[in-house]
Amino acid sequence: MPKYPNCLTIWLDEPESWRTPLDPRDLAVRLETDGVTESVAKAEYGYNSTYEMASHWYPKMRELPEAPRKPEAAARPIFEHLKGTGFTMPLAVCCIVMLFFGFSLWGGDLEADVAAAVAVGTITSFIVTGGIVQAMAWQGMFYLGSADSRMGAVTVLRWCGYGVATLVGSSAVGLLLNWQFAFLPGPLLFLAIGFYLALGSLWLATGILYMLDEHLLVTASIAVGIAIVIVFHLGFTWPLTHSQIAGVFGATAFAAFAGYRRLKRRYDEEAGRIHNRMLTRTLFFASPYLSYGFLYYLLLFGDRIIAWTAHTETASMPLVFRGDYELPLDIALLGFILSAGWVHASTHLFFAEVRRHLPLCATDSPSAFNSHMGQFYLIRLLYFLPVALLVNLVIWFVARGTGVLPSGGSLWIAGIALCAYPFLTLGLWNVSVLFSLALPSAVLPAAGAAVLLDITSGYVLTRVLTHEYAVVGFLVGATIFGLGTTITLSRRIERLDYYYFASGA
Amino acid sequence: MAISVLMTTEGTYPYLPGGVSVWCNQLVQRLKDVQFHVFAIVPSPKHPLRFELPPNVASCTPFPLWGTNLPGVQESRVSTYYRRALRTTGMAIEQHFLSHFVLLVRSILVPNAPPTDLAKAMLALHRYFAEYDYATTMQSEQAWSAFLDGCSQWLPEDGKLNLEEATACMRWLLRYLGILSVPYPAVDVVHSSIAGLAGVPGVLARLERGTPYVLTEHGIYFRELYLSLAQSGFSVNCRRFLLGLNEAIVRMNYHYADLVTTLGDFNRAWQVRLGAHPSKIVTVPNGVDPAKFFPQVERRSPQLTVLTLARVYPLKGIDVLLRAVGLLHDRIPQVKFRILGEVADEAYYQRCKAIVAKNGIESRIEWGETSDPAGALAEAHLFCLPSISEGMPYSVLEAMLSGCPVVATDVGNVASVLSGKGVLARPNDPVDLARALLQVLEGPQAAQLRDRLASEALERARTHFTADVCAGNFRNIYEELTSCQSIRIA
Amino acid sequence: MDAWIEFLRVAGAAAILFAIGPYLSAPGNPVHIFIRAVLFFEVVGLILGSWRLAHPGILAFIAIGWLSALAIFSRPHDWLYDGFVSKEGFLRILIWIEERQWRGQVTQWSSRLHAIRIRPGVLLLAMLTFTALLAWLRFPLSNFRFFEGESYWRAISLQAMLLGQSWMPDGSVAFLAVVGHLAGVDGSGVIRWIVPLVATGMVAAVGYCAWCWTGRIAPAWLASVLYLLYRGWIASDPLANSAKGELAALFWVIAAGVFRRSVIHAIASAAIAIMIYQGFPRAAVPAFLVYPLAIPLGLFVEWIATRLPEKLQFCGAMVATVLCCAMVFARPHAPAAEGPLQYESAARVASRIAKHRPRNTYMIVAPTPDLAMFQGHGWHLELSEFVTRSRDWPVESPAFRFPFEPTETFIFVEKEPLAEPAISPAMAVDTSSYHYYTRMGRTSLQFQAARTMALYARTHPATSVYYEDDRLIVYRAESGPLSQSP
Repeated sequence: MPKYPNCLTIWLDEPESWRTPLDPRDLAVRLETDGVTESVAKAEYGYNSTYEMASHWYPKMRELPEAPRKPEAAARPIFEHLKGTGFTMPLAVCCIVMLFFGFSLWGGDLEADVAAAVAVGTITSFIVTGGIVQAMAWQGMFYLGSADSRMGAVTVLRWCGYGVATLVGSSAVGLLLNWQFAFLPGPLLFLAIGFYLALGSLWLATGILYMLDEHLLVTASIAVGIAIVIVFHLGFTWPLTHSQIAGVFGATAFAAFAGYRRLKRRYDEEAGRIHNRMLTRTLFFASPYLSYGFLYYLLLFGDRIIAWTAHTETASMPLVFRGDYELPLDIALLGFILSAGWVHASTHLFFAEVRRHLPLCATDSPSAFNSHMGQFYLIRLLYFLPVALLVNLVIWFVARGTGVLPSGGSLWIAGIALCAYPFLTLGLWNVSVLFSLALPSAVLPAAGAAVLLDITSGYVLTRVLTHEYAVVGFLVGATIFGLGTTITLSRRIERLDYYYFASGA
Repeated sequence: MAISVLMTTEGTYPYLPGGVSVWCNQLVQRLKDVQFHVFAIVPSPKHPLRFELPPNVASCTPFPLWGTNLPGVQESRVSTYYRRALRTTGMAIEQHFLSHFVLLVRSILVPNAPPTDLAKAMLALHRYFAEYDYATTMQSEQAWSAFLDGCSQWLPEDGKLNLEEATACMRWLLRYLGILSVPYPAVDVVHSSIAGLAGVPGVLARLERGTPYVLTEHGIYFRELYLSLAQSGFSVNCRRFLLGLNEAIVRMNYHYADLVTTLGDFNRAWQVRLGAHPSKIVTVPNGVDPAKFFPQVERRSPQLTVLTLARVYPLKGIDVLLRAVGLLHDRIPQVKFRILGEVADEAYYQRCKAIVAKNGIESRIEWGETSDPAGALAEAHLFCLPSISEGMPYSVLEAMLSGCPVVATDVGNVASVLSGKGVLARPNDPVDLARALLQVLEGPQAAQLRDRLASEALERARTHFTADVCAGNFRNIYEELTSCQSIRIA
Repeated sequence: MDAWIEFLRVAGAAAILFAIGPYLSAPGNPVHIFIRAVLFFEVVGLILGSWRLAHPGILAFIAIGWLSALAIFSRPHDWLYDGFVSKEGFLRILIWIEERQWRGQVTQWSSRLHAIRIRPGVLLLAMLTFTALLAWLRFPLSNFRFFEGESYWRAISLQAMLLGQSWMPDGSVAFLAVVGHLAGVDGSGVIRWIVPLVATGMVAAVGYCAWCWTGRIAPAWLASVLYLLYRGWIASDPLANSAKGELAALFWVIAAGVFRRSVIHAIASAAIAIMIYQGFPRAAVPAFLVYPLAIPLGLFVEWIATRLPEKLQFCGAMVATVLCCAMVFARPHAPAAEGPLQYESAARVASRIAKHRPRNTYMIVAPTPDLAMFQGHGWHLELSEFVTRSRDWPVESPAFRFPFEPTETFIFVEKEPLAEPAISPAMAVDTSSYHYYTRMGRTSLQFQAARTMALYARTHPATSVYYEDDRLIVYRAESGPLSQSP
C-alpha cells in the first residue's frame, strides 16, 4: 500500500491531470475510487471514514493549482488567407484554361444568341441553387459538428435531392413561361435549360465538397470537366456548347461521387437514428439561408441581365449577350478573387480574438470586451478597404496598359466594377461573421435592399441611358450590401458577449 | 383502474444501454398492469430505441439535451413553435420570466440555498414555458444580462466567473433547463431513475398536482458527477458551477421525493450526506430474471475461464484487471480471461490493449461482445468485476443466479449484495485484485471454494435478487403511494 | 385552334387580374373588386407608360405585386386590409400547410364562389351573358382585321406600350397592357378579343345596374334582354370594333349601378370611364335608354309572375331566356364585307408571319393597317415607299437584292385593290398614304408593286409566293446587306 493514495499525489507525478477538488466530497469520491473504502480509511490511515479523511486533506489540496491550459495556437493570417483563396481556385483554373484554349468549362467564343442562352442558363443556375447550397452547408455542418455523422450525411443528401427537384421543377416552369412569353426560341431554350441543369447540379455537388472542406477535390472535378470538354470539342469536334454540357455533367459526376463516398464514410461511422424528417420544419429554419443565397447571387449577376435586356427592341430576342459588358466584369473579378481569401482569414482571426479576449473580461464589465472587439473589427475594416481599392486600381492600370480591354467604355465599366467588388467582399466578411454568430436573418435587410436598389437603379439608368450603366446599379447594390451589413454587424458587436453566447447555444 | 406512472430516465432506458436500462426494462415488462409514460433525457436525438416497448408503455418521449438547433422541447410542427415564439415578446419576458429566472440563478449560485426556492422558481418557469417559447426566452438578452448580474452578485470574489466561463455556464443552463418546457402527462405516480435532471418532472408534478414522487438511485448521480468533472477539461469555476447546479437539483429531488429507494448501505450513506432524510429511504435491491439466468454446469468450458461482462470504459476498471492478470498469469497458466462488452471508450480500449501487449498476455485475453450473457456465464468458471465505481451491478446478480462464483471490487453495494458469498478486492488495486483471483483459482482447494461460494450466492440471489421480487416491491410502492398506506418491501 | 387559345389566354389573363385573383385573396363584392383592380392598373399604366418604363417585366411585376398586395392586406377595410405579411399572416400560412388545411381549401374556395349566391334569376342573367359571349365570339374568330381606323391605332398604341416604346397616354389601353403581358398576346390580339368581352360585359352591366336600383331580378333580366336584342338586331354596326366610347360606356353603367351601395366605388368607376374617354360616350345612351322601358315593365312582369306558382315562374323565365338566346344566335352571321382598310387574308398572313418568325428578322412591305398585326415584332416598309424606291432599283438584275436589314422580306400585293378604303386622318401619316384612299391611287400602286415583284421573281429563283388567293398575293424574297446599292 503506498503511503498516500494516488489521488493525493497525482499533482506531483502528472500535473497536467491534476484537478483541484471542489469540496471534501469530491476528494472523498476520489479516495474511494483509489480503493480507500471505509475500512481501509480506518485500518490503514486511521480515520473513522473516507469522508473524514477527505475533510482532513481538502484544505491542503484545494490550494494546489491546476496546470495552466495550453494556449490556442497562434493565428496564421497568411495561411488562412491562402486557404480562403482556395475557394476561388476552380474559378482561377477556368480563367487560365480560357486564356490558353479560348474556352473553358462554360463560356468561349460563341455566337451572340448562343452566348445569351448559355449566359441565361449559367446565371439562373447560380441564383436558384445558391440558397440551397447555403442551407445544405449550414445544416450539414451543424450535424457533423454535433457528432451526429449519420444525420449529417443524410441531411446533405436530402438537400441535394431538394436541389435537383427544384432544378427540374423550375425547368418545367421555365418551359411554360417561355411558351407563354417567348423569351428564347426553341433550340436556344433547350441549350439554356441544358446548361442550367448541368451547372446547377455541379454547384450542388461541389457544395458537398466545400462543406466537407475538400477544396482540392473541387478543383479536381473542374479539371476533369475541362478535360472532357477538350477531348470532345478538340478531339471529336463536337460543338463547343455540347462538349461543355458533357464536361459539366462529367465534373458533376466526379464531384458527386467523391462527395458521396465521403458522406457514406460518415454515415457508417456510427449507427445513429435519422430524425428531423419534417420538411416544413427544415425549410422554416433554413429559410434565411435560402433567402440569402438567392439574394446574393441576384446581386452578383442581376446587373448582367439588366444590361443584356436594355434596348433590345431591334434585336431578334429580348435578351442580347453583350461581350463589351461581360469582359470588363470578368477582368474586375480578378480583384474579387484576390480579396476572397481575406474573408476567410478575417473571420478566423475575428473569432480567434474573441476566444483570446473573452477569458480576460469579467462578467460585470462585458462592455470592455465588446468595445475591444469593436475596435478590432474597425481596424480590420479600415485596413482592408484602402488596400483592396489600391490593388484594384493596379489591376485597372494593368488592364489599360496591356490593352486587354478594348475601348474607353469597357475601361469605365471595369473601373466601376473594381470599385464595387471591395464593398462586396466587405459584405461577405460581415455575412460570414453574422452567420457564425447564428444571425442569418440579420443579413437579409441589407441584402434585400442591395438587390432592390441594384435592380431599380440599374434598370432606370439602362432604360434612360445605355446598357453600360447597369454596372452603376451593381456599384450601388454592392455598396449598400457592404455598408448595410457593416452597420448591422457593428450594432451586434456592441453586445457581442450576448450574441456570442446565443450563437453557441 | 390501472395505475399510471411517469418513468423518467437520463442517459439510459430506452435509448442507451446500461444497468439502469435493464432495470427499467424489467419493470415495464413485468408490471403489465401499470401504464407507463416514459420520459427519457438523452444526449442527442440520434440515439435509436434499444428496447422493444411493451403495450403498457403508453408513450415514450425522448428529450435531447444537445444536438438540436434549438434548445427546449422540439415541436413536431413548426407552426406551434412559431406561434409560441411570436407571443414571447420582450415585455412578456420582463414581466413573467425574469424574476423567476433570477431566483433560479440565485438558488444555483448561492451555496446551501433552500431547495424550496429552486423548486418554486422551476415551477413558475414551467408554467411560463407552457405559454411562451423556451429558446426565444432563454436566448434573450434579458436572460443573459440577468445571468451575468447574478454571477457578479452572488459568486464569491475568489470564485467569480470570467466572461468565457459565464458563456459556457449559461449555455449549459440553457440546455438543461429545457426540461422545464416539456408538458408532462398527468399520472398517478412519478418515478425517477436518478436524482438529477430527470427528477425535475417529479418535483413539478408534486408541486402542481400533488402527484406522489418516487426516486430510485442505482449509482449515486452526484458521485459520478464528481468523477466526470475531475476528468474533464473545464476550469475550476465552471466545474463549481456545474456542481452547484446539480447539487441544487439533487437536494431538491431529495426534498420533494415521497420515497427514495436505494440499493444498499453504501448508497444510503451518500444519500443522507447529500440531504435525503433517512426516514424516506428504503432499500429495494435490483433483480434478475431467474428463468434466463440459472446454473448450467454441463455447458462449462473445459478450460478454466474467468469472465468479465462489462462495457469497456474507465469506470469498469478493465485496465486494473489486465494489470492483475499480468501479475498472476505465470502462476495460473491454464486460466483464460474473457472480457465481453461493448467498447464505449476507444481511447481507453487502446490503452488496455497496450497493457496486454506490454505484459505479453495476448494469448490469455479474449475480447468480444455477446448477446447471450447467460450463455457466457454458463461457460465460465468465475465471474470477475473490477469496477472502480458501481451501484448494484446486474452482472454480479446474473453471475450469482447463474451459479458462477464472483470476485469483485468493493465498490458501491457489491459488498452488501455478496454479503460474504464472494471474494472482494480493493478498487483500483491490481495487486489486491490478483490476490483475490488467486484465492479462487490457485491451489487444490480452489475448486471447492468456487463451488461453495457459487451455491451460497445462488441461494442468496434466489431469495433477494430476482426480477419478480424487485418488480413486486415497486408495485407495492406504487399502490401504497397512490393509496397513502405504509409501504411493504419484500 | 390557335385563335381559341388566344381567346382563352386573353380572357384568362383578364379574369385573373381583375376578378379571380383579387377575389380569392380578399373576398368581397366582386364588382367592387373589379373596379379597384381596373383602376389600379389604369393609373399605373398611364403613369409608367408615359415614362417609357412600361417594359413588360415591370407591368407583369406590378400585376403580381397587386395580387400580393391584396394578399398582404386583409379585412375589414375595403381598400386597405390588415397586415398579412406580418408574422401573424406567416403563421397562418404555416398552419395551413402543416395541418393540411390546403386539402379543405378547394371546399373553401368553392364556398366563396357560392357566396355569390347563384339564385335562379342570376342564373338566367348568366345564361344570357354567356350566350351573348358565344355568339359574339364568332366575329373575332372570323375577322382578324379591324373595321375602324381608330382600332388600328389603338392596337399599335397598345403594342408600343407592351414593348416599352414611346407611347401617347391612352386610357383605353393602359390597363389592357397588363392583360397583354400576362396573356402573352400582342396588341392586335388583345384588342380583337377584348371587344366581345366588353360587349358581353355591357349586357351584364346593364342588368346589374337595374338590379342594384330595383333589387328585383325581373327588371334586371329584362334590361339585359332588351339591350342584347338591341345590340344583336337593331344596332347597325357589328359589335367587336368597339371604340373607346363603348369601353367607357361599360364603366359608366357600372358606376350607375354601384352608386347605390358605394359612392366611392361609383366615383372610381366614373373616373375610369373619364380616363378612357373624355366626355360622355354615345355608346352609353342605348344602355340607359332601356331602363325607362325595362324597369316598369320588369316590375309589372314580376308582379304578374308572383301570382303564378314558383315552378311556373322559373319555367316561364327560362323559356323566355332560351328564346332570347336563340334570337341572338339566329341573327344571320353574314361574313362582313372585305375591307374597309385591309383584306382579311392580309391580316391573317401578317399575323402568321409574326407568329412563326423570330423578332426583327423579317421585313413586311404593306400598307399601314397591316402594321398593327406585327408592330414591334418585325420591320415595316410602306408599300408606297417601296414602289417609289423600286423605280430606281435594277430589280431585273440577278445580282441585285433588296437592300433591307432583315434577311427575309414579304411583299403584300393586292391583286384586286380594296374597293372602298375608309378615310381616317389618323392613317394619313404622309402624302404617300393618300395612295391608299383613292381608287385610282390604290390601283396604280398595286399595279406597280405587282410588276416590280414579277420582274424580280423572274430573275431571283429564291423568291417564292408565300401566300396567294383571289385578292392578295404575298411574295417572299431574300434580302440583306449584300446588295448592289443603286
